[in-house]
Amino acid sequence: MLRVEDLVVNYGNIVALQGISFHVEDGETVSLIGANGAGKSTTLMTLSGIIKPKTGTINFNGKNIVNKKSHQIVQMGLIHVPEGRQIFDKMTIEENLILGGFNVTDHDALQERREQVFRLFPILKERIHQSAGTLSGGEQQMLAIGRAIMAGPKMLLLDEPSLGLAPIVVQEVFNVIQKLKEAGITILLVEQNANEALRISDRTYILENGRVVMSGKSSDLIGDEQVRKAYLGGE
Amino acid sequence: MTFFLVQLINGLKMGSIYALIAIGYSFVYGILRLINFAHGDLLMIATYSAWALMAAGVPVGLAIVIGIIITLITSLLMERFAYRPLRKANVETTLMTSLAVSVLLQNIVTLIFSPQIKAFKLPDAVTQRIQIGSVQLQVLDILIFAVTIVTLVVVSFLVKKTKLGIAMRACSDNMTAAELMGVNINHAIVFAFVLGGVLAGIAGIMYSGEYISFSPDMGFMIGVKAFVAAVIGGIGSFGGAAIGGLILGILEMFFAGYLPTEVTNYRTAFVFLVLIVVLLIKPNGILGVSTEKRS
Amino acid sequence: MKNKKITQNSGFRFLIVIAIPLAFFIICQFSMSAYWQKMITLFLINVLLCASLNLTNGFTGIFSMGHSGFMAIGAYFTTLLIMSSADKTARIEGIPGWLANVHAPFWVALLIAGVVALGVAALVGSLVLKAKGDYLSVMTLGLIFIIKGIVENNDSITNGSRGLSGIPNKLNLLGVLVVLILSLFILYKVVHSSFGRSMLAIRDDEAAASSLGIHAAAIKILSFSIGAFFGAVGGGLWAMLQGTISPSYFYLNETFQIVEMSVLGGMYTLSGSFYGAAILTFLPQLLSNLESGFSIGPVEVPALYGLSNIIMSIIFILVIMFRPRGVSGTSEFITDTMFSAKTYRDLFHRETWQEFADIVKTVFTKNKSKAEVLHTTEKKEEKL
Repeated sequence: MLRVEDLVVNYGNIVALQGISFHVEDGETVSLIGANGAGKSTTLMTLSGIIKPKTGTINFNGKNIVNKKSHQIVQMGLIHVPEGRQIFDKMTIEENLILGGFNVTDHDALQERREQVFRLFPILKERIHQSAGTLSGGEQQMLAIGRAIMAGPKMLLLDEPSLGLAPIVVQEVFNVIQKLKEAGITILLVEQNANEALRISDRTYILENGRVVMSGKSSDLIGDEQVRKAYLGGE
Repeated sequence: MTFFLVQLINGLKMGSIYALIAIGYSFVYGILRLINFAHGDLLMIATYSAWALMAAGVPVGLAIVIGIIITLITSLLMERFAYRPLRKANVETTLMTSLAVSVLLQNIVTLIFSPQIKAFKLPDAVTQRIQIGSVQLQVLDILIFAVTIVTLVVVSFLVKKTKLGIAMRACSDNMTAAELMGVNINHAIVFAFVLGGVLAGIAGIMYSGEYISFSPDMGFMIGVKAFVAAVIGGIGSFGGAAIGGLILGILEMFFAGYLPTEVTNYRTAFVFLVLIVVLLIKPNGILGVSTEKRS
Repeated sequence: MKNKKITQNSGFRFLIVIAIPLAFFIICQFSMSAYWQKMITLFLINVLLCASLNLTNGFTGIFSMGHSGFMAIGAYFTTLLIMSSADKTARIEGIPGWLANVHAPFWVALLIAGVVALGVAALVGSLVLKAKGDYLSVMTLGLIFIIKGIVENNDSITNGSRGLSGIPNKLNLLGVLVVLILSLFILYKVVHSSFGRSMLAIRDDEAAASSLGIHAAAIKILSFSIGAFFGAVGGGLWAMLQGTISPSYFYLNETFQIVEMSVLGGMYTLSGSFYGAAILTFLPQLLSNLESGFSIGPVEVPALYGLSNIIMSIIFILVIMFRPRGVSGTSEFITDTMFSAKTYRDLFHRETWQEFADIVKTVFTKNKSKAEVLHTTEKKEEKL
């Protein structure tokens, strides 16, 4: 579904991504892990069109999306759930969801997805007219994912969903991601929490200083010595 | 008692005008964080356009409508040529640019029409006075209230229920997220300037109809005061701007009406004093929404 | 095309920035027409006004729009102190006795005016400078209206909106030049002190600066006040030059013009004030002479001559879009030359002059006509 080749991204004079390549097949859940500043969020932002790469190709479902604008990319079904949730905290939960499905014209599909979101996150239904700013961190993460679902994603880009959340809440979030996986949505997950990321994904790429230094099946990497020492805090 | 009523009505009138301008200001500020000093000058554009058309024989109603359309176009031109190229610039740059645009507009109008003060005369049917209870009102006053209410309702609907309105509010709230939702930022910004332009146009006609004399520099001051009103009410919110406008109008009138004349010449200074006091107590304005995010 | 080496050469810099201009000003004082004397003096005053604004706007990051308010304070205090008792009684109806009789030499008057402005700025600043960027600027705008209101409503002191004329001019061109140099020197020292560095730190990142122990509020207030002081001095000088003042001379158009000067010249540098003042003193004259065919004297061009203002506004917008740092950018060529001891010490070293002669020789021998062009551009630059 997604094929990235030799992606180079600059922040001014700093080369954030030094030519990375990876792919995500239909239905897969792939994770991108690495330390802070390794270039994970940059990767996602480039994929969703917020940042323009210097060179390289991004192929989504057969089309090169490097020169496409964000809203076009969204319409193609590649949805980015940003780091830090970035919900509209001055607007209600309902309005947030409406914005999620902003460019979708199929009203039936929208209705269906709304139901799906409420099934996954009943608390959102409860608080539907409340201002999103009053939600807790975990609830905001649910809202952010729910918002993404409204767009009918073919592929979800999840940027650090566990950031700043208490361990119990992190569990809930990953349960949701598991459900999304089971629903057949292709997922590219960026995480600092390497444990969870490796457990939930099929394959993993490890990013360091803007380069892919390791990749493979997540189940293999979990058992790998080096990986354990560097990212899983264990021996 | 009558005096109080008269002051109140005057206050509500001026307040309505401020409210319309303040709302337009806050749409643009909300989405671009831009204090558009030229916004006040849009009132002047509307007045001059309508006046010129009426002088050329165009019927009043049509002249006013076309005048508002011209104001709308000016607003769009401002966005396209002065502000869009500067989207990524810092605060000082945009402030200075908007100041420059204001001066530019005033000077263009001065060049075309001369700096002399002119009179904006609406037909007698509108300016005639009628008696309601213990007060005398112009038909115009009633029109002002009516138009304000209708406009507020329409704008409220546009902003809450239409896609563009929601898009605009989303952009004000969180531009990055809006982009990720596939919202077309340019469209949302243009919408803000369209609404702002129309509101300023309406306010301009009202103001000139009420106070009759106009000149190229009439708009700037009113614009600044309306901005103060928007800040007092809380510039993030549409409701706040409206309320801020009304409050400012009423305060100004009572200040002028009840205090001795030595003091009342400080009307404008008073407005700024109110601003300083309000911001000291509530840094985000009376209804202001805090920009702090919950993590 | 300038040879990089020559601009580093102290001999060259001394000539260009100090010797030649000084000679020019002296010549101007003694043998040019009254019109040109007035224009050049106005230019010098504008440099001061602009530099004082740059301190608050460019260096500390407070975008103040109330500067003409401080000018007004300067103008009125200076005027009331240097005008003769007879004049004041004749022109201002109902003037209180103490005011009519108070009198001071011009330099004391300028100092007092400056201190008053400084006090006002400190007071206002302590209330207002907590606000963030754009709100702050709007509040400083309020200063203009408040001061105008005060001036217009106290007829017995200021003669209200009728204004005051017949202001004696106590300083000729060279006198103003001296005041300017002194003031710039002080500003230069301020900018190059640790206080100055703190200002820059605050401008760039207030939160970070605070965490380093820099007392942001106090520094902002102080910087705002110093800017006000020199703005008032400039206002006083201006009053003496023009001979007439009125509240409408310190209103929106004037504020915008000072801001224009600041931005066009380069508001992040002190040297920028020279460029900005040059552009805004001479260009509008040029433009309006072109369009209306007669000279209007050195009074600031009112909006009546709309076309030149329109052109200036457009130029302004274009500069902001394409070169927001103004003409000077980050270069402090002029003030560095004037005030760093190195310039003067180097004059006594033979090598400086040898190097200068060498470079000039190579330039001349390389291309004779090219050198001629260089010669004329040097002369033009020293005027601007």
